[in-house]
Amino acid sequence: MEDTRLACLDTPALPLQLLLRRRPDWRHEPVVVVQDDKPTAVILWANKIAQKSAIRPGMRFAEARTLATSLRADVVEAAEIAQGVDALYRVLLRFTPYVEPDEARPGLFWLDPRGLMQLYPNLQAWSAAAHAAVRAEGFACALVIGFNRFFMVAQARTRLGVLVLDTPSQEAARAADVPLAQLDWSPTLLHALSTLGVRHVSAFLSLPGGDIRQRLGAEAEVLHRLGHAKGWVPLRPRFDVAPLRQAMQLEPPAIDHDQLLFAIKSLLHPLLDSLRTRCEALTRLQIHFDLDHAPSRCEELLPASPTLDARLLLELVRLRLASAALPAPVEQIALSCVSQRVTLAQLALLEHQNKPRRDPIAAAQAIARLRAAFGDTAVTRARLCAGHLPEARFLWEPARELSAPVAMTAASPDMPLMRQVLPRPRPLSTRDKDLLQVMAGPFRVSGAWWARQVERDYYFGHNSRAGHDEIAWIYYDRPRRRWFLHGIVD
Amino acid sequence: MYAALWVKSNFSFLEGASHPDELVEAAQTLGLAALAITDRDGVYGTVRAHMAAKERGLKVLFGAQVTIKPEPDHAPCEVVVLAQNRRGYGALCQLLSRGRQRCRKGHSEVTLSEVGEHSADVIVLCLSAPPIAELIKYSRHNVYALVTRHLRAEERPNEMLLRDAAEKYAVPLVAGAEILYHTQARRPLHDIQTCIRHGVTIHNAGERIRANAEHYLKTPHAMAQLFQDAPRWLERTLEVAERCTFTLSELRYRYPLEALPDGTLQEGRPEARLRVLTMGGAQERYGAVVPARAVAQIDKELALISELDYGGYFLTMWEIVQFCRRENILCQGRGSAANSVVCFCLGITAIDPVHMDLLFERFLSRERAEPPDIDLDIEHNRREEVIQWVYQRYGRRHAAMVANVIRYRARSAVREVGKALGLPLTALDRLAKVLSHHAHEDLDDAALAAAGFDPASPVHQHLASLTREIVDFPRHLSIHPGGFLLGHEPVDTLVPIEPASMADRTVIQWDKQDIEDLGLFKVDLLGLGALTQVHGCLDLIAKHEGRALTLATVPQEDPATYAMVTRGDTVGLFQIESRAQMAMLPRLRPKTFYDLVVQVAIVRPGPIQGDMVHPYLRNRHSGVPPTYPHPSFETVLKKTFGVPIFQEQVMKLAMLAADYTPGEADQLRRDMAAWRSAGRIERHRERLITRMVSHGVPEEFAVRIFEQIRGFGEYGFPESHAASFALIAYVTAWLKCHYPAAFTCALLNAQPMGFYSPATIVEDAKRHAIAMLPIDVSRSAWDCTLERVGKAWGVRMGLRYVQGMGSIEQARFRHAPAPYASMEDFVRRTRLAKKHTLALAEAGAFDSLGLSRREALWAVHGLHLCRQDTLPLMPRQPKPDAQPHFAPLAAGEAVLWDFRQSAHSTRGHPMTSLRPALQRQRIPDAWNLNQQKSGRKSAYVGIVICRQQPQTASGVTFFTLEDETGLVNLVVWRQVFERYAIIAKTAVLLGVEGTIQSEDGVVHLVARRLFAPETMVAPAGVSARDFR
Repeated sequence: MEDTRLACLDTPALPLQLLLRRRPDWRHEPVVVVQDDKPTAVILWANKIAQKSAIRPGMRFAEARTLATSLRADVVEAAEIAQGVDALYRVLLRFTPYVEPDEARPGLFWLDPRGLMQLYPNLQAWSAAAHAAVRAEGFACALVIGFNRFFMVAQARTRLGVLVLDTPSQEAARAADVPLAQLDWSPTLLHALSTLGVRHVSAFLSLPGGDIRQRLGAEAEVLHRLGHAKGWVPLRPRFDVAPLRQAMQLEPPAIDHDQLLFAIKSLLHPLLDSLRTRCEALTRLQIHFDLDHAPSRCEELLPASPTLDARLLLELVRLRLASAALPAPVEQIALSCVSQRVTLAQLALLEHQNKPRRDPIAAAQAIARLRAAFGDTAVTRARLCAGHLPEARFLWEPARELSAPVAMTAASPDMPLMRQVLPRPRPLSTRDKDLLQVMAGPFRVSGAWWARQVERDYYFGHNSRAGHDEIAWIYYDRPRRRWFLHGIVD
Repeated sequence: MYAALWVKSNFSFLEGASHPDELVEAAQTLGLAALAITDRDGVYGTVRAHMAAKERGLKVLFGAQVTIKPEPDHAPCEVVVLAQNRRGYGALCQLLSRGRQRCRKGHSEVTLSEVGEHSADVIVLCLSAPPIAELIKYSRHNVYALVTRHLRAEERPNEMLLRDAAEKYAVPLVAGAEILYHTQARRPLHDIQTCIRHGVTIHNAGERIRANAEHYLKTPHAMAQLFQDAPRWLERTLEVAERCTFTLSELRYRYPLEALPDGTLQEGRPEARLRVLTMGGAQERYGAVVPARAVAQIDKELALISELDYGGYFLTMWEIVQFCRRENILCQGRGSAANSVVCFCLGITAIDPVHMDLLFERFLSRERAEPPDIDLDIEHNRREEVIQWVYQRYGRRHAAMVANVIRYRARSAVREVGKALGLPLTALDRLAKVLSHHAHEDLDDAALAAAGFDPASPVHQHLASLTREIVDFPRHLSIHPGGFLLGHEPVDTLVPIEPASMADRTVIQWDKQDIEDLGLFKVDLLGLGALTQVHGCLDLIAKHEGRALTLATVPQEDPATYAMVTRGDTVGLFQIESRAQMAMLPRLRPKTFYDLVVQVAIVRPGPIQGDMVHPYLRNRHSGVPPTYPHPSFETVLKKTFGVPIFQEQVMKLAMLAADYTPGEADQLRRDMAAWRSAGRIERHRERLITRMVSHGVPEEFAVRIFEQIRGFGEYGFPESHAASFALIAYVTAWLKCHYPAAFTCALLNAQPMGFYSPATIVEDAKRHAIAMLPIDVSRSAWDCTLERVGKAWGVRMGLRYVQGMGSIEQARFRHAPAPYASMEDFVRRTRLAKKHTLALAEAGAFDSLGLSRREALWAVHGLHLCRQDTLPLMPRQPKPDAQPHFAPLAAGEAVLWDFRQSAHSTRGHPMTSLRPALQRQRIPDAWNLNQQKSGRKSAYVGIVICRQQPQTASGVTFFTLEDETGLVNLVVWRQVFERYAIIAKTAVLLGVEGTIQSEDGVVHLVARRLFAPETMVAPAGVSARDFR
């Protein structure tokens, strides 16, 4: 008969473990993980030192602070937990390809030990090796091999180490005495059961199941059903999708653009076909060049929108090759891509776009071509920001598409003078400054006292030197005692 | 020379960054001709500025920056309004009141036409062009265009428009700037305040903060430079200042005229009516023949009241007291009003000052330029009725409550400043906890380091310096507990009235200190839980015993009552129930009412710091007449065995031995009260001690007197105040002594109010053999009630004691009263939320329906979905086979459940279940411990019901522990407390090893070691009182 046992790996209080990995200097301090960064935040996890000071999860941080003056606290964001889960997942992949991270309980993993079992003499040895590998990464954990997920979690939550259960009855018997308080069920359910005198797994499972949902809620019903489940609950392992890649050796090495373009074309079509079968469209194309006696090089192309259009992509490749100036012949070309999932309908649209002669998409494609030809920061636009310093009032950001400019209406007194702002203020010599005839000012801007004191007196000055007839926008930097040219009035 | 016409103090909350007095001082130093205080939509800071300006001789203009409601298609705008004269000031206040009343709290908006309608006697400074055209339709000559310059390019277009509009409408231009702080050094603080106001950090504040630091008070020379192209505009600021002649000294205040019996308003002075009422009251108090001493005192007081024109005030207080009597609301005057025989005769106070020889000058004196202060205590649960009656009686425009300005303290400052600086909130909380509640001097490097901050880090240095600056800044306006300002003229012509957060309340823009500084009257209506308790108890006695009693008819000088009090059996008694009072009572052994007056006053920082307690007890019990430091002191100190206990005695000593006049003595009293103003009391030291010594008083005694004066500054009682409180203390004691069940019942119904938790009150009642009956849905009312148990009365706990029950649940019980046929019937009829029914089940309130607690819980879980059903119930079905069997509650578990759901238990004490284990370890109970001899070593385990760290106790912490047999007083020295800090701070069930200290029947256990008793479970739901 086939062995249908699963493994359950539990890393208790994973967010707290992650916090202590991030802040190892806190290991000997009372530490808690809080829900938010505020004094009234609820404590989610507390380490043993904190618990010795009578600090418990559920308490408010402010309350806990009165118990331990040196209490350290921080938030562990969902992204950090996801990263931690991911790291553990990768460790566990070394022992089986079938790993199911429990989505509801981060830090809990379900494993099918059959995958790479052949490498180990028995389940005990496999378990010990997997457990040791997780420990080696700095995580405390428990690993239980058993039959019923409900009972396995119950066992895992009461120990650190390895437990291999041989029969379902043995498993049920060992789980029967597990206190419910040690399971991470909702506090509401635990309280309701506690008031009824139901304190152990066996007592919970002996409750009549008929109207348990009505009396104790959906969570109780699910747990009760899991506890009574006879059948095997299949594993839903997570699989990482292998990135698409196409490569070709060039013999002899080539540097001619047309030759390279044809080579890329021959790689691009199978790549796009693979994407099409996955119902995905390309958002970034990466071209890796292994050069002859020169460091390898990678070029990245961003189409205007997700696409499966080979002609469009080859046009971008051609433009990039024209500007790339490869220093040596190419020995190998490899294409990889970043893609995104699209629906069938979207796919059809992408492949059969009815392109008007003048439309924003065409403009975006033109910008894409410019980026391809001159680099990603070749096309930028200014975004206005709230700030007092001139350089803080706008930000250059890459432009991916064009937005229609809003036409200026009649000039109003509120309209500021149009100025060409220099990328960096240019120091003025005293002589340069003296050549300027001050027309207006000073206009004072000061602040940033919390970082670096700024204090500038701005002026508009007329530059009447031969060959110049312009109004300069200058300022006197008071802390630095120097004059600067910041722009020219249009 | 110029006048600053647009100045906002820090009473433009979170906008201005300087105190009004700082602005006044800076303006005078800089040589400004005048300074206008123009806070945003209010006159909050005007009194402070006025007082500072009076001291410095600077002219202050009074006004406000008024927010204009934007018209459709118009940008919002503001104008500055300055009062030219008294009428203009009144109009400004009315305008601001109107704006405040139509907006949510903290905001105000008026229309331009409203500004115009109120502009006859004000100057309106337009900050932008649009309002000019509208405003000149009303008072053309009062409108100016204010050109402000802050070296900003962006303000030039506005200036151009303003100049054009001024030319077009022939409105004069005047120069100025928006002043937000007196010195540029306050600019960072202003930026931080802006961040706090907008809820952003300084790093992403963007254009919310000002572009530069040009909003400070400039020298006349700097202003002349700034407006060198238009010197006429600057000169015109002086013209505006000259036109504004109003000062707050012009405010004349008239108390509302009283209604005559026929309903009409009395014309002229109210003295005649006051005399009639006083003499009528005197005959009620003293009988048909009023003693000559009382008549003489009445004449003296009435003459002074008439001379000072305070008659209306007394009549108002009389009216309020009459209302309370009509509505059967208990009330009693407290404080210095008890020194007045007029107040006594009018029924405002209950203490006869003639009989007690109280000092009238403590209440009212010719030399004192301030109105009398009458505080009226009212049953706390009915105070709102009185407040609403006052509004109704005098009208919303003639009556408003006094404000309370909430200011930054060290902790709130560090939190808000740190948040604005972008620091982590949990770290700031850690720093805040390092700081004391009030002090701000201690935010130094050591405090920063103790909280894990780096004192060398620039951002932490900013945090420290900005926190120090912002401490004591106004944060927002709150409402005074009971202070009312009443006026014959509408109050909104004195000060703007705005809606309070609390429904149906309106509040003025000045606080108590402002009212006092301007010499205005206020009426204090304060809530007192003890009066609710007494009223409830008297009603119960009338209902169940048929004995009608009032505060005045409770038998006086009852020996049994004093015997009980002397035992320290005072749980639930007003003012003498604290642990310190309990410890003092067996030593003082009160036998008369005056002893109680002393008892109330003696356990206070004043007598304790002045080292007067032991001399008093020694002299009192020695039987030997005391020797006086000076023969003239005998008259003053005879009542208190040669030791000064009360404020009045200190004042009299100052007059007798240090040649203080009555007015100076009163100044001494006020300097005592102003203990937060460092140095005010110190200036009396030299004078008092030197003069006393020169009059032959021993220096040691003179120094002790001065130390006591210092202590009074912290907290000390005048004799009259102590007497008022002692009266209520005596009544509660008499009720407890003679009607303990009714007393307990009323005390429980008046909670929360007192010193002890309901659990302690219940345990105390049980120790007094009162049957305490548990909550039961079939038998309990909402409040606690009396129920016959054999021949005596027991107390049935009310449904209100079940956790989470409130007014909604009270209404549901009222609409679906007991009896209930079954649990299902209960659930369907009451329609309580599941959590409330569960709480009742857990508290054992369904016992009478034949359900154990766990059966009831299981049933509630199954029935809650049918609570909305309206179909008739099916006949009761037998329990189905699937009904699970639940384990019965373990011993002691029922008590713990009681505590969890109702914070008390009538079924037993949590310690009872632990007693066998404690007995095995030879740990005594409270009763046995209190019998032990002094010096003996003993251990004890009990539940912490109170922890106290009095400031006068040099770091000693006093605990009161409780078990099923009584209370234990525990003394924990600082070193022991620090060694066992976590247990000391957190333990609900506390174990102690220590030494017995017994003196005069008062037993203390002095702790040597604290421990958390192992193998014993701390009762859930039993909570300890925090530090007091």
